[in-house]
Amino acid sequence: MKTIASTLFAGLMAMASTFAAEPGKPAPAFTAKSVKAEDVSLSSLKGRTVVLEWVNFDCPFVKKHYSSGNLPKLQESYTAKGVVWITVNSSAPGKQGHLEPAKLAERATKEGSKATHIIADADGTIGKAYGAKVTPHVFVIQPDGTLAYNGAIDSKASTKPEDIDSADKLLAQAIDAVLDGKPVANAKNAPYGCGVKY
Amino acid sequence: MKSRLLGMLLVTLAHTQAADVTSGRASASWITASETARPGELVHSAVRIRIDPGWHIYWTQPGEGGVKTEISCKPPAGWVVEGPGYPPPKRFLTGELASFGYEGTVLFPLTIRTPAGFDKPASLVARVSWLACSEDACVPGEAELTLTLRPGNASATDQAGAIATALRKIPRPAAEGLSLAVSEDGPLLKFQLTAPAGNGTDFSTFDVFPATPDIIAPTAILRFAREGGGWSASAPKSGYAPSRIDAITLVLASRNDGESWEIPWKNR
Repeated sequence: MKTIASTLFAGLMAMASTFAAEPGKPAPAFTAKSVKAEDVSLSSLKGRTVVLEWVNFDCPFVKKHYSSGNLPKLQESYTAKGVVWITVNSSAPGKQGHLEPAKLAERATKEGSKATHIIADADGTIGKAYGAKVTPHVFVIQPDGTLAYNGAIDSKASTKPEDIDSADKLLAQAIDAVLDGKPVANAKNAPYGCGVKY
Repeated sequence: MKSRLLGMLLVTLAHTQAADVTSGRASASWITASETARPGELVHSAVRIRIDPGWHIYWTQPGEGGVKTEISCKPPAGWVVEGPGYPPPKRFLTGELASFGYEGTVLFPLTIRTPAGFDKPASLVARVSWLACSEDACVPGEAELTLTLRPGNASATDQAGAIATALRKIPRPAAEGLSLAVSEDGPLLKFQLTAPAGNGTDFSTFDVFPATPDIIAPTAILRFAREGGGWSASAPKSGYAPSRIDAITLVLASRNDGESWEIPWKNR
């Protein structure tokens, strides 16, 4: 009985933490300093479409999307359409991908990032509020502050850049739908990547 | 004399030990139960991955984070290569993420059938890729492995025993009459296993792994217990489970004798 109860409890806990950010519900609020010391607060971005992207530049799945230019291209084309793109690094000190804000800014530039803001979330506050599991895990927030998408960047869970072209562009489809004021078809799906190094 | 002995020893090693390729916190090699075979004969072999302490690689269903360990071999015309077999995994909890994979040394069996006209040495190539993760980091690994077989009577190498043991651990299709039923009960999934009369297997001694992703909450630990004439287990659904669950396959691995089964269920 104890085993069943603890199994259940573990499962329910997992569900609770997994869906801290549920599509259709208000996106968890946050305020943070960007690596360029700008104040970034979700509430001040009302009226804009916001993308949150979890990053760890040393994770092979993240490398796939930066070395191929896929993420920089997405960032460039959607910020040109008025999207606010926020890249968040929740790697804790001593863990893979952790960088102090200034170093993170340098690294992002080197990787070709075209994000609007980059946030060093070394204590994992924003990551845990969203239940960010892996890098890259992406979220889309619609202009009224409702979460519209929680999931993978695309449909092919691999570290190979050659898989990008043939994958379903899940994130791009979600952003397009939000920009068109349409519902997102596949609003919640399992992201793939390296576990976020909290 | 000493150097001659050493020389002989080195030659012997070169013959019986496949080259290890070191990459991604592990080393990989393609080992075989025999380096010789007659035409049309089966040769048992395995890709062996030795993983650095503190690191793990992933099963076919990696769970949350991670990626399946891939092994592919395009054999030359006339050759048949079956596999790889994936042994039942171990469960890893990294932070709050649950995943399925392997640590230490793991063997993925490949069974080879030589062609009918096998009359000169031939080399096969397998490409292997994996992701190794620790508590703190993930790194990719890859290797191109070669196995050379020569015509002749089969002769067991010193790897034959390990390969035979590895083969026994690979999940087999469910025994005749063993059936799985799955029903939904709110946030829970209930699994009922029915064994044919006279099957004395104690299914409470089996570890259970979901081979189908995103149906069961990855952190849930499934364990069968006796209920009525059969066995039952339950677990919370994955938050990513579809509204109608069409199919799921469970892998049951005995904690006693290493025997394992693959039991599919389809929603009809």
